[in-house]
Amino acid sequence: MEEKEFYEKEELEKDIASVKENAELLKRCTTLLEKIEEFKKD
Amino acid sequence: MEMDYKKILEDLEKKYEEFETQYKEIETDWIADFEGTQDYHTYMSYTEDEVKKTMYPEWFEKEQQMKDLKKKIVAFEKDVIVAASNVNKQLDESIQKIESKLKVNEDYIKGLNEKIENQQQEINTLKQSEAYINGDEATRLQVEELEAELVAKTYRRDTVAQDIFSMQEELAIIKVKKEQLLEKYGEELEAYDKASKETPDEKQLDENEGKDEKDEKSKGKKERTSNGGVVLPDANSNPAELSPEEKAKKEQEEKDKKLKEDFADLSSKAKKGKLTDKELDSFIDILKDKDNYDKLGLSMGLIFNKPRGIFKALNKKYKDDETKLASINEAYSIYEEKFFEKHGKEKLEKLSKFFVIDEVEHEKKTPILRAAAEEHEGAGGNRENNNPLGAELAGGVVGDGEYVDISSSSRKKGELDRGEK
Repeated sequence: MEEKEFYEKEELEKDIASVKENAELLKRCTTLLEKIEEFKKD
Repeated sequence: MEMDYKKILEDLEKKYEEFETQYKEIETDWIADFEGTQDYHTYMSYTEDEVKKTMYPEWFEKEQQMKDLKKKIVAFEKDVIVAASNVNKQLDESIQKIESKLKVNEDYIKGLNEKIENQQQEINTLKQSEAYINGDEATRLQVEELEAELVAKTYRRDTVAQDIFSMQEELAIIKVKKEQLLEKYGEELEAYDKASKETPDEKQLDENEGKDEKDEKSKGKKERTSNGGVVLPDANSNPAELSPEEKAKKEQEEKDKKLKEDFADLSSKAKKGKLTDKELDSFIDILKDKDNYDKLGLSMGLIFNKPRGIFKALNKKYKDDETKLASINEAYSIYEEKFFEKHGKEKLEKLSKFFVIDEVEHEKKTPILRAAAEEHEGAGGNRENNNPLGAELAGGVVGDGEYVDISSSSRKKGELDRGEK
């Protein structure tokens, strides 16, 4: 990562959005795993 | 380089939905057939093998298809764990990346604080100087300039600090949620990580995913919002922005959804004999409306699996209430008509044969069937007089438990030929 003295708010906001997106993907993965688990129970 | 797991996950979700739908569809028919095999086996004292050979070979085929699909879905779970593990790693990396950047900005603020402190000291020193006290204009202007800079620096420090604080808060929330999500599957993901480090599997999977990423790169970009967020389904879209057609469609979808929910609830209660009078009326109303059968789609299909169970429960509960029985009977007629449409003549024949074979038992158990049969005897029940069940029961019987081919053309005309076999 490039070393800077300061990161602008806009850049950080993009990073936060990326983190949120990854968190959402993880949530979808676990939801899918739950569905499979439920299916296996039937 | 980050991979487009959004696309990978969409594919996995789609694949799972396909598996599940396929499974449920087969299961729907399978359960319906199962009732047939079970009933037929019981009433005819056939062995399971005989039933398989004669009446319900498709049931065993479907059972095998379901087993195969179940195996596929269980194997598919591994793909989802791989995706989850990689998404989790990517999430960790993105969190670390922003934490590093926020740390840089924290250091920047520390530097800014030092500058502010030094500047404040400089101003204080100047203000205590002889020149300033004696009203020297140049010193006064210098102090004013430094004070203006100080205000600007302080404002910047406060703003940046507030931004860092807000983002740290957001990150903290995400991290807590992440831990909650991993509470259940953390061990599986860890196990996969460990295994992948020991085997070349991960490398292969990454290569495959890399290919996907390459293929879908441009698509992935389009699926993001301008600020990099995920494009979510428009569940919260403003209805005011919809066209009248879209609005009407949306409203209809909501109505259909409610209908499905209500029907599932009512049929469950009906089966258990727990319907209130008002609920029974609603249930019968739904069954009487032919359009509902299409609207209910698969949900109705699932209910179709055990319709006789539901009707039997209703008959038992309302055996002394002629009005309600008539209403239930009417609903049954419509159900049967739709059953015929859905499953075809062949299954209807099987259903009818089952009723005929077990006529004596059914007369005891189900007053509605007896009543229908009696009505037929008296009034020549058939489809035209809205008593198909009566027609099948009475018209189908020859001697002691023999049955006729109820699909004959004469039956359709309502003129049952008792001698026909």
